[in-house]
Amino acid sequence: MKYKYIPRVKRKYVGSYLPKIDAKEKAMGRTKFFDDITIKSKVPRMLYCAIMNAPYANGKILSMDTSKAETMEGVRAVVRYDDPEIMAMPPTTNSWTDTAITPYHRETVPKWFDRRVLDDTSRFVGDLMGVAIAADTREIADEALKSIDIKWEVAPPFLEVEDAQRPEAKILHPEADPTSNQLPHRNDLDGGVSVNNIVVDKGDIAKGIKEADAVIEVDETFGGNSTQGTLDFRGCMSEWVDDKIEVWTNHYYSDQVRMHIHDMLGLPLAKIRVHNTNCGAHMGKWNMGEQNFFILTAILSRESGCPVKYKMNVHEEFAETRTKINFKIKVAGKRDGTVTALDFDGIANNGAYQGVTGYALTGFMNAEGIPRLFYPIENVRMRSRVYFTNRIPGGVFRSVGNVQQNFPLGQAIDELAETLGIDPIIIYKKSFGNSFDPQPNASVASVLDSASAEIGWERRHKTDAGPIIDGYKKRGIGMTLHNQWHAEWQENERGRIETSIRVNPDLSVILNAPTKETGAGGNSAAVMACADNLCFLNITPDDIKWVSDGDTEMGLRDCPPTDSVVSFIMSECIVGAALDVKRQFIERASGMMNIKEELLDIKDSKIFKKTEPYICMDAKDVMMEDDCVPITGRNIRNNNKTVTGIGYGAWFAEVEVDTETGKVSVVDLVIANDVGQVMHASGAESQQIGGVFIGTGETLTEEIFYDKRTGTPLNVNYIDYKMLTMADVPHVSPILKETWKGASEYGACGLAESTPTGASAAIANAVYNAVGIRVPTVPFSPKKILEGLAEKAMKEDAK
Amino acid sequence: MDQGQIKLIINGRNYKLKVGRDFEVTESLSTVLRERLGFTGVRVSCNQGGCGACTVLMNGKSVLSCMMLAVEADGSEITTIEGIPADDPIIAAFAEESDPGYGTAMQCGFCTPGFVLETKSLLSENPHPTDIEIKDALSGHICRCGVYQGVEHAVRKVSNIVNREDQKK
Repeated sequence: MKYKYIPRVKRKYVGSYLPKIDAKEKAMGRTKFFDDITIKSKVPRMLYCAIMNAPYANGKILSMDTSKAETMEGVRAVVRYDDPEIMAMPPTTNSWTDTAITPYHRETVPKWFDRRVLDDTSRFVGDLMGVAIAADTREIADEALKSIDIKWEVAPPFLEVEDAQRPEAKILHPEADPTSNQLPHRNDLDGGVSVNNIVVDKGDIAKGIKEADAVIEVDETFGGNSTQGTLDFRGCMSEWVDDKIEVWTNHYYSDQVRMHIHDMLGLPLAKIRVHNTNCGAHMGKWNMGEQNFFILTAILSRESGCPVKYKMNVHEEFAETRTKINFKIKVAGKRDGTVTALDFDGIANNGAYQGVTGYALTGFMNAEGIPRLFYPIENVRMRSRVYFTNRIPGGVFRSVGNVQQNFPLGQAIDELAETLGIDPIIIYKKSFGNSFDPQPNASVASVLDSASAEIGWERRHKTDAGPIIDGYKKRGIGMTLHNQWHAEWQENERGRIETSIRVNPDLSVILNAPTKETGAGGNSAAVMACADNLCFLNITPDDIKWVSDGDTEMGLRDCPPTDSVVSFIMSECIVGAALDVKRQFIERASGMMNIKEELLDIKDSKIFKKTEPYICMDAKDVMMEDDCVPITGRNIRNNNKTVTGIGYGAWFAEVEVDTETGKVSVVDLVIANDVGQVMHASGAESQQIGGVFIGTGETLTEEIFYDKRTGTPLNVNYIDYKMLTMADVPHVSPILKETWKGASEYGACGLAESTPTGASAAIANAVYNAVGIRVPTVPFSPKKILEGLAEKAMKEDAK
Repeated sequence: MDQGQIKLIINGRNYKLKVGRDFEVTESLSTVLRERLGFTGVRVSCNQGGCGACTVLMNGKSVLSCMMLAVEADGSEITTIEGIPADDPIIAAFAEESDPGYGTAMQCGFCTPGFVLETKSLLSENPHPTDIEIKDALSGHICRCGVYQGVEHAVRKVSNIVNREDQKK
C-alpha cells in the first residue's frame, strides 16, 4: 500500500495504530456473550421459549387448539394471541427504535406501529406470531408447537410491488391505508403534502435538462436479497418475580429494552432491571423494532415461576433484509462536469412491515442527499412510493438507504461521464459537496485523489477495450463517491451522553463509557481518549478498565452502538469527565496543601504551585490522605449543534470478468474515508476492510431465494446463503483522511456505517468498464453476467 | 462407549461422563462442552456446520463440534480455546494485530476462537503454509465483521515465528 495515514493532530493514543483493548480476551475466547451467561448449568430452573414461525405468508388464524401442547410433559406455560392480556397490548413497531418512549418529535427515524406482540395474522413466512411456549428444553417447546391444531384462512402471497398493487392483493396493513398496500406519505417527513408522490422538488428539472450537453437514464435495483448475517443470534432471558422483572440480553441498548418493557407491561422503570452483555456484530439488526420475545419471555416467566430464555435459531435470524429499492434516475450534465438535473423515481419493496424504507427513500434525500451529497446540483426532484409485500421485512442493515441510493447514482454518473467523454472524477469534484463547505469541496477532492492514486486510475482503459487475459477474461476499474455518516445529525438527535472516570488510589482507572461493544470498537476509542485526557496523571490505556457490563439499575444510561457514533461521541464526553477529575484532584490537594485552588496545577501525577513548582504533592498521596476514597469525575454532555458539513468517502474497484463462466472476481479494492479525526487507526482500517467485504458479498453472492408460489424463503441458513469467506475476498487498501473537521475537540464523523456503501457501484462500474454491460440487480451471478454478455453480443450483431 | 460412559480428555484433564447423569446420547459435542461443562469459548451460531464458530481440536485436528455427537468423541483428546495458554504465539498474533493496512484480527470476537483453533490445526500440520493454503484452511469460517485481511496477516506472521522457533530447536 502506497498511502500512509498521517494524523492532522499528533496525539499520544487517539488516532494511533494499537491493538484493540479487548483483543486478548477475545482471542482467548473469554468474552462472555449472552448465550454464555444463560447456560442451563448456571441457571438450572431456566426454561426455553419457542415462538411459532408462520407457515403461510398471508395467513390468519381462525381457531387454535393448544390443549395437546399444554398437557405435554415438560411444557410449563403457553401464551396465545387471544389471551386478553396480549389482545389489550398496544401495537409495536418494526421501525428504527431509539427508545420506545421517545417523544414523536424526537424520533431519529419516524416509526410506524404496524406489529403486534402476538398477532393472529402473518405477513411473511417465518413471522413470529400466534403462540409462544415455555418448556424444559427448546426441543420440547418446538415439539409442542407442532402439536397445535390451527385452522387458517390463507390468501395468496405476493412478493413484488407490481403484485401488491393488483386489486386482488390482500391489504397487509389496513391500519396504514385500508384501500391499498402503499405506505402513506408522512407530511412531516416528506416536506408537506406530496402531489403525485413527488417528495423533493428543488429548482426546475426541465430547465436543467434543457441546459445539458447530455442526458442519460438508468434503471437499477438494490436490496431484497441480503440480511445482516451475524453470528451471535438475538435473545434474552427474563425472570419475573413478584412485581419486578430482570432481563439478560445481547440487545445493544439496555435502556431501550427497559423502556419497551415499561411501555408494554406498565411496570415502573425502577422495577425493571436489564443487563446487557457483550454482543456480537449486529450490522443493524438490533435497530429493528421491538422484538416480541422480551414481552413473551416475561409473561411466560410470570406464568411458570421460572426464568425463561429465548434465542433465535438461524432461520429466525433471517428476520430482516436490506430493503429492495428500484430507482430510475435521469441525470443531465455539461462537459465541464456540472450536473444540471438529477431526477429520481424510486419504488421500495418494504416487505411485510415498515422498517425504514420510507425514510431511505425520502428522508435520506432531504437529510443526506441534497444538503450533504450533491448540494451544488441546482435541480433535483424525487418521486417516491413504498409498498408492503410478503417478503421478509426490509430493515436496517449497515449503510441503510445509502447503498440503495449509491448503486444507481454511482452508475448514472459513470454513464453520464462516458457520454460526455470526461472522467467521472471531474463530475464529482464539480457537482458534489455540501451546503456548509465551500465548493469545490476539499474533502471530495482529497478522497478521490488519494484513492485514484492508490488503485492506479490512469490504467483504466475505455469501456470493453482492455486486453483479453487467459483467453477469456477481461479486467476493468470503476469508482464511486458518497458522503460519510452524519456527525451533525447524531449530535442533534441523540440526547445527553453520560460518562464517568473513577481514579483509584493506585491511579488505575475504571472508565464508565456505557455502550455495548459489538466489534465497532467504541470501547477502544473511549479508552484511548481517556488515556490522552488523563495525561496529567501519566495514564496509559493499560491502566484503564472499561466497564463492559450494562445494567440499568447500577450503571449510567447507555449509548447504543449505531450509526458509527459511539467512538467519537463518548470520547467528546470523556474530555469533560477528565477535566472534572483534574478539578477534584486540585480541590482535594488545595485543602491539604493550604494553597488556593487557582494557584495549583497538575502534571506528571503531581499537584504543584504554579509559581513555585517545587511546592508539590504526589497525586497518590492526595488519595491516601483522603482515606483512599477514589476520585470520580463525571460529565453529562449536551450535544454540540454547530453546523459543520461532512466528509466524504470514495470506493475504487478492479474486477476480472470470466466471459466463459460469467464469474466476477474482485481483484483489488481501495476505500478512502475522510472522517475528520481517526479515533483508533487499526480499528478504523478494520472497519473499512470489513465493511467493503459486506458490500462486495451483497454485490456478488448474497441472495435469499423465495418460492414464488408460497412466498417461502428457501435458503435461510448459512450454508445456502453465501457470505464471503477468506477464500473469496480481495486485498483491500484502506485510506484514512482528515481533511474535513467537525465540531468539538475531535470533530469526527462516523466511519463504519458508511463503509459498505460504495462497494457495489464501484464493482458495477468496473464490470461495465471490463465488458461493457450493466446488470440491473444484485447479486452479479454468473447467470446474469452471461445473459448480459449474450444480450450485448446480439445487439452488436444486429448492428 | 463403555457401560453408558464416555471418556474425554479436555484441555489435558480427564472427564468421565455418564449417560443420563452428565449428558444425553443425543447431545452434540458442542452442547456437552458448553452447556454441561461450561467451556463457553466453544461458540455455537448456525448449529449446522455452516459458520465454523464451534471449532475445537480433536486429537490435534480441527472439527466442528456442533456436527458430531459427544459419544463420537469418546476416547479422544479435545482442545477448546480455554486450553490454549495465554502466551501461545497464535493468541498473541491475533490479539496484537494492528499493523497499518491490515486492520485488526477481530472485531466482535464471536468467531475468533474458531479461527484461532483452525490456525493451530493448520500450523501443526503445515508449519509453512502459503497464502493460498492459509486462505483455504480458514475458508470454513464466517466472520461477518470481515477481518479476513487482519487474520491472514496475523497467521502469516505467526507461521514465521513458529518456523523460526522450530529452526532454533
